[in-house]
Amino acid sequence: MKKLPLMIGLLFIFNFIIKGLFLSHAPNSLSFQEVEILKLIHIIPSVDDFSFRFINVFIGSFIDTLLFYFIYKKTNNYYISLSIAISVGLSPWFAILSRYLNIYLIPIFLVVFILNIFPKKTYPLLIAVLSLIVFRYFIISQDLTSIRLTLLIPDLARLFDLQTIFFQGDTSSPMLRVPLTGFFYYLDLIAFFFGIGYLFIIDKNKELKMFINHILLLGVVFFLILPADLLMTQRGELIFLWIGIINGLGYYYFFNILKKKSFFLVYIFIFILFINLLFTAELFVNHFDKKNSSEWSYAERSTIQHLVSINKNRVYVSKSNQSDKLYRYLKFYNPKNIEYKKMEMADLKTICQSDQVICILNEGELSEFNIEKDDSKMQFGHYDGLPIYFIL
Amino acid sequence: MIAVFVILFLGFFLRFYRLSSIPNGPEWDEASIGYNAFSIAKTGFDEWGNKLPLIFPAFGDFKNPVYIYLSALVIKFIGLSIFSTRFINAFSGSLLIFIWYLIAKMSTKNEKISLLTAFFLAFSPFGIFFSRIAGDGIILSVFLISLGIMFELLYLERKKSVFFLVSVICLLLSIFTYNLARVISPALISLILLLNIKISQNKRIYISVLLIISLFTLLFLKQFGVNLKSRLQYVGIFGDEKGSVLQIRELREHDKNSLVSKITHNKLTVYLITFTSNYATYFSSQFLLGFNDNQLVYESHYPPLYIVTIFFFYLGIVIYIRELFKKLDPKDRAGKILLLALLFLAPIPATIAEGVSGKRSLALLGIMQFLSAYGLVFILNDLRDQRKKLIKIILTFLILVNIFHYLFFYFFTFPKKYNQFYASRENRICQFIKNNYQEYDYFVYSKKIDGFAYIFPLFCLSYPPDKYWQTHSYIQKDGWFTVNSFDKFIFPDEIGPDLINDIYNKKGKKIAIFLNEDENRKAPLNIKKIRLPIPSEAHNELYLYELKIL
Repeated sequence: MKKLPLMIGLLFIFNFIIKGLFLSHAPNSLSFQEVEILKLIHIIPSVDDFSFRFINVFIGSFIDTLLFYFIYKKTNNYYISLSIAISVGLSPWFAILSRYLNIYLIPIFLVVFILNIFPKKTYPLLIAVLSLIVFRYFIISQDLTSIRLTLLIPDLARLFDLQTIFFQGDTSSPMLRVPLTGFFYYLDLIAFFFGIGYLFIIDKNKELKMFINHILLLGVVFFLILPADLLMTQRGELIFLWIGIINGLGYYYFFNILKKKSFFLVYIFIFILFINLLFTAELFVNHFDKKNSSEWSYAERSTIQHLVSINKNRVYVSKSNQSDKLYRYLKFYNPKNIEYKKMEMADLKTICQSDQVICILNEGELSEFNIEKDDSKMQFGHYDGLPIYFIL
Repeated sequence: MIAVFVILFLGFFLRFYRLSSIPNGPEWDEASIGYNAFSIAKTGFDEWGNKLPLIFPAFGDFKNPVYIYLSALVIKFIGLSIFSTRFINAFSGSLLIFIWYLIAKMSTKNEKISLLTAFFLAFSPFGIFFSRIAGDGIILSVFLISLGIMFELLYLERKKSVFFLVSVICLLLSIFTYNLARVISPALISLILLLNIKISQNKRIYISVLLIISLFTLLFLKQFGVNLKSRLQYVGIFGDEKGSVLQIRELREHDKNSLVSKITHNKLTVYLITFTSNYATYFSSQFLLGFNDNQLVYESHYPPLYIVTIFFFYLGIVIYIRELFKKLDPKDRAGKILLLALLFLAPIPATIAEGVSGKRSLALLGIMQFLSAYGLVFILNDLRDQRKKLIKIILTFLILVNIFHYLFFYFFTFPKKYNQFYASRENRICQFIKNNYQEYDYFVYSKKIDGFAYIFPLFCLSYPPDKYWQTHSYIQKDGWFTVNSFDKFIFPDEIGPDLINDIYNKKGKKIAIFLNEDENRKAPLNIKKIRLPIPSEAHNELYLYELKIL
C-alpha cells in the first residue's frame, strides 16, 4: 500500500516533465482556440510566453495519474495499471491535447472520474452520458444542427481504422497531426491485438471489463453528439482513450509472454519501443509546427513579434476579412507600445505615406497601392507557405 | 453434403448468370487475353507471332501465360466470345468455394465452420466480382494458391507424397498466372518445405520437389526479370518520384538537411513506415468496409466483407492465433501456421503497390471468409441456448439483407453506373463493325478514342491471326505496342486535316470514320452523319461519318 502513493507521485512527475518538455517550442504559436480561452480566463501573455499551457500539462498529467489509480483499485496489479497509464499518457493524441490550452481534456476527466467514483447503484454510466451532453451543449456549441447523421458510419469507421489510428492520423485536418504519425505509435498496433485478445479471452476481471466497455460506449455516444466539423482527435478522444487502455493491457500481456521466453526479448522490445517514441518525438518537435503553421497562426505571431521589436508605435490594417485575423491577434496581445487600428482602404492610402506608421496589407490589397510583393519592406507568411502579410 | 452442393450450385449460378453481359465487355485486357488465347488455339502463336510463349507481350504489359493457355482450350471448343474468355475465371471462382469448404473441414473438423465458409465465399462480393471478369487470371491464381494449400493439408493428414508434389506444382503454376502470386507463392512454398521436413517420411520426394522448383525458377528468371523491374517502378511505392521520396525531401528541408534528419528521414525509415501503413490498410475498416472506391475497372465498388461479418473476422484472427499456443498435434499446428501465413502474406502484393487495391490483395479471398466463419461459430458456441437462437435469427436476417443489397447492387446498379469503365464506347464501335464489315472498305478511328483500339475489332470479328500478321503495321513506343493499321482498319494518332486529305484520295471507297467530340469539333465533315449512341452513363459522345469517295 505504501508503494502506491510513491508510484502515483512518480507517475505524475514523469507525465508533467514529458508533456512539459519544449512547451514553447512546439507548437510555437497560439491557435485561435487558445486565444479565445485565454480571453475567457483573463490571461494575456506576451508574444513569447507559453507558460499558460502548463494548465493543460497539469490536467493531462492528473488525468493519467487518476487513471492509474482507478485501474489499480480494480486490478490490484501495479504492472497493468502502469502499462495502461503510460500507454494512454504518452500516446501522441493525448500528449498533444495536454500541450496546448483546450477544453477537450475535460470530457476525459469527467468520464474517468464519474465511472470510478460513483457507486453502481447511482448508475454512473447514465451520469457520465448526461455530463457529456451538458458539456457538449453548454461548452462546445448549442447548435444541434451541426450533428450530421449521413456521415456517421464512415466517420465512425475511420476512428477504428488501423491505418488511420496507428500510421496516418487525421488526414482531413493538419492542426493536431504529427507528420508520419497516427494517433498512437506504430508498435501499439501489436499491443492492440494482444489487448483485444486479453480482454475478450483471458481477463476475468468483470469490473475492469465493465469500465473499459463503458468507456467505449461513452466514446461512441460522445462522437455521435459532437458537431461534425470538429477535429477527429476531439470527436474521437474517448474512443482513443479506450484504444489506449486496450494497448496498455496488450503490452502487459505481450511482455508476460515474452518474459516467459526470455528477458532479453523484453529488453529488445522496450528498446525498439523507445526508438519509436524518439522518432515520433523528433517528428513532433522538428516538424509539427512547420507542417501545421497555418493552423497555429505562425504568420500572425511572426508579424506581431516583429512589431513589438521595432520602434514604430502606430500600426494600421485594413478592414478586410483577410486582415481580421491579424487584427484580432493584435487586439489580444495588445502590445503596450503599439497603437493599432482598422481603417478603410481610402484612409490607409493617405496615412501609409508617413514614415511614423506601419501599414500591414494582405496580397490582394497591394495592387491598390500599386506595389509589387517584392517592393514591400517585410513579408510574413506561414512556414513553407506564401507570404500573407506585407509591411509597407 | 446436400448443403454444400446447394451452396456450390448457388455459387456457380451467381458466377455464370449473364456472364457475357455483366459487366459489359470485353474491356481491354479481356479482349487482349481472349484474342491471344484464340490465336494460340488456332495457330499455336500469340498475336505477335511468338510460338507458345512463356509470357505474352500483349500491349507491352506482358501478360501471364496460364490463364491464356487454359482459355485457349475453352475457345478451341466454343469459339472466341466474352463468355469463353471469362469462363476460366468463373469456373475457378466457383470451384474455389468447394476448395475452401475442404480446407475449413480439414483444418477444423467442424461442419458448421466449413459450411459457413463456403456460404460466405459463395456470396462474397469480391468472389463474385472477380470471377466474372477475365482481365488477368486473378481469381485463377487465388484458386491455384488455395488448391496448393488444400493439397498440403491433405499431405499433412494422409502423408502421401503425391499431395506434397501437387501442392508445390499448384503454387508454382500460380506464379505464372497473376503477379500477386509472385510474392505469396514462393513464401508459401518455402514454408511448406520447412513444415514438411519433420513430417515427411519419404525424404526422396524432396529431390523431385526441388527439381521442379529449379525448373520453374529458371523459367521465371528467363521471362520475368525485366518485366518485374519495370512493373515495380511504375506501380510500386519504391521509385525516385514517388510520394515517399518527396516526403523525405520535405522533412529534411524542414531541418535544413541536418545529420539528425538524415538519420531519421531516409528511404529505410520512410519506406518501412509506408509499407507498414499500407499493410495495415488491408486489415482496416477503410478497406474492409469499402470506403475507398477507386472507380477503376478492376475494383468491385463494394466492400470485400459484409459489414455484419467484419467483427467476426477480427475475432476469428485473434482466436485462431490463440489456438497456436495450445497443445496441438504437429500436423494440426502446421496446418494452422500455413493458413495464418496466407492471411499475413496476402496483403503484401497490394502493399508494395501504390494506392489501395482489391485485386492485388485478392489472396485474402477464402481466408477472410474462413476466419469470419470461425469467429462467428466461436461466439455462437459461447452463448447460452436461449440467447443463441435469438442471435442466430438476428444475424441470419442481417446477413441476408446484406447479401440481397449486394446482389441488387451488382446485377442492377453496377451495370448502369459502371459500364463506362468497361470499354462501352469501343464495344459499340465493334458492334457496328461486326454488323457492317462487308459494307465498308475502311474503318477509321483514332488513338484519341482509344490507345489500344485495334484489339476490339480483332476480338469481335475473331479475326484470323495469320491474316492479321500479314497486314498489321505497328510501332513500339515507351515499352507499349501500338498498332497503326491492319486490313481495313486504320488507327491514326488523331483525325485531322492531313488524314482526311489522305482519305479523300481513296477513290471509289466507302469509309466509316468514328470521331470523339473534340475531333468532331475540329474536323467537321459535311456529309452523311450517323450519331452513334452509347448505351451507358458515359458522356463521351461518338460521331460516325460515312464517306463515299467518288
